[in-house]
Amino acid sequence: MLLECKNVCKSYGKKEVLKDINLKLPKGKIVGLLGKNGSGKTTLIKVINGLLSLDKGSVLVDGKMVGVESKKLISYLPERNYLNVHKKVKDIIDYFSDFYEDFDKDKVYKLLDDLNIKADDKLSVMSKGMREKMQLALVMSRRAKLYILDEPMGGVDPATRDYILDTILNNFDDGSTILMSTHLISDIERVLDEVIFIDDGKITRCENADKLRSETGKSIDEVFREDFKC
Amino acid sequence: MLGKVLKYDIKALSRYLIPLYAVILGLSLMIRFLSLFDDVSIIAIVLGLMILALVFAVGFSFLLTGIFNIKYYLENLFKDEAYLTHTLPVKKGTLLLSKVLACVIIIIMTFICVLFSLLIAFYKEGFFSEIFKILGESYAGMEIYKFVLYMGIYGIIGYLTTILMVYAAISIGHSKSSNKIVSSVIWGLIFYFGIEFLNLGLLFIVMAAEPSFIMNLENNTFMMSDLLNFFTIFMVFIAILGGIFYYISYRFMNKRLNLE
Repeated sequence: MLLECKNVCKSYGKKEVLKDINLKLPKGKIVGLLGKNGSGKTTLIKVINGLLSLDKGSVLVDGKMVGVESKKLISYLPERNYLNVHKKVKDIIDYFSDFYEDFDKDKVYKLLDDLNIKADDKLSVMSKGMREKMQLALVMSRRAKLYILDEPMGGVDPATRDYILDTILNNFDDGSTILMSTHLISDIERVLDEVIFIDDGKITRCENADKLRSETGKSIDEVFREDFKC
Repeated sequence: MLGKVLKYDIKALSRYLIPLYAVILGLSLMIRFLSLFDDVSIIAIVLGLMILALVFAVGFSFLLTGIFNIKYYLENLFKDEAYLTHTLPVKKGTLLLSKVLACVIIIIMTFICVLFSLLIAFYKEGFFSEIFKILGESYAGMEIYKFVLYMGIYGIIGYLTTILMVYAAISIGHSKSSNKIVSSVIWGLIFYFGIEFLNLGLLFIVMAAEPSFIMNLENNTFMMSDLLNFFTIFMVFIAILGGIFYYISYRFMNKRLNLE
């Protein structure tokens, strides 16, 4: 297994956000982490990336505890912009290249070229959307074992969504796994191998996407709407 | 990895420091230039104002250096940028050590800048020989250069401990689920008053253990070495506190990181 979460619990103050999460993700799959706002998707992702300490349980990435070795294997796209806007594009690329052994400089320059972003451009003069695309290009230019993408298509127009999805699908390494959280199920449904439904900090479904569709006779989007009906 | 992290930390801090150094060195150059015409009354007034500005800039430069360092620590390890910093394949200890080393380096850089600016503004022929003469002299049984060197080391340790105290307060405050800044400030105040209280306690202990020191001070018969022994106790104490704050910062970043 590439990712294993065992009895993971996390609270913010008195509020329990993750309640005894048990999860196993195999290699070479595209996995959708689906749930309503505040269901615990981002918290789970942050725990896997070591950005939040655990209250209980453990997370293993390719058999390694969260730490330096696990971070070498994960390429993470957060739901916010983490790039220093005072830097130039080439400085950011050098930064990634210096710290990630699996970072492909040629690939990122090619991806940025498609977006008409130049090496000497400053991030401060780029639009928010452009910075997000640049961040995605950086993340997808690593030959990582696990790509974790938190709401990669959140708040963008349909054309940009298509660009983002294409960039993800065309650039992830064969044999690696993508864990992607989103609300926009209909946009990504066709590419998902596995789906995880999370509600109120608990995993309510974790199954093969095709099996779920054939068993219910419905699309994943429809199953989601049914399961999470208010 | 430490070298790489340190390189980027220094680069990031330079963004704040270069304008500060430019202002200090620019003022010095202006003072040097205007001093060529100080027999004109209006220029003499401007020169006086510029000297005043330089004194303020130099005085505040070490405070600003500390503020920039703390701002960078907060942004790089606990704000949006932290999502990248903490997902780098780098140990938390390396991230923290790099911040501390960067702090030492920028203090030295600021010191060099201040020294240069003062030389540019006020250098006169025979200045160095005069300085070396003073430094070579003895006072109360000790060469002055030794005393200056000692106080320099004491200053750096004290400065670093203060920075580490703020690091520790930020690290604890940001492990909370809400009111992170308020919590950091409260912890900073607790540490500050705690240190003051402990310093006072240590002073009483030293006085009680070595009453002859106070008597010597009153009789004007003290030796510099007595004074240094007195300071050494506080220097070691402050260094230990610095180590404790370093450990607290590391522990909270490593075990209680909370980038909610």
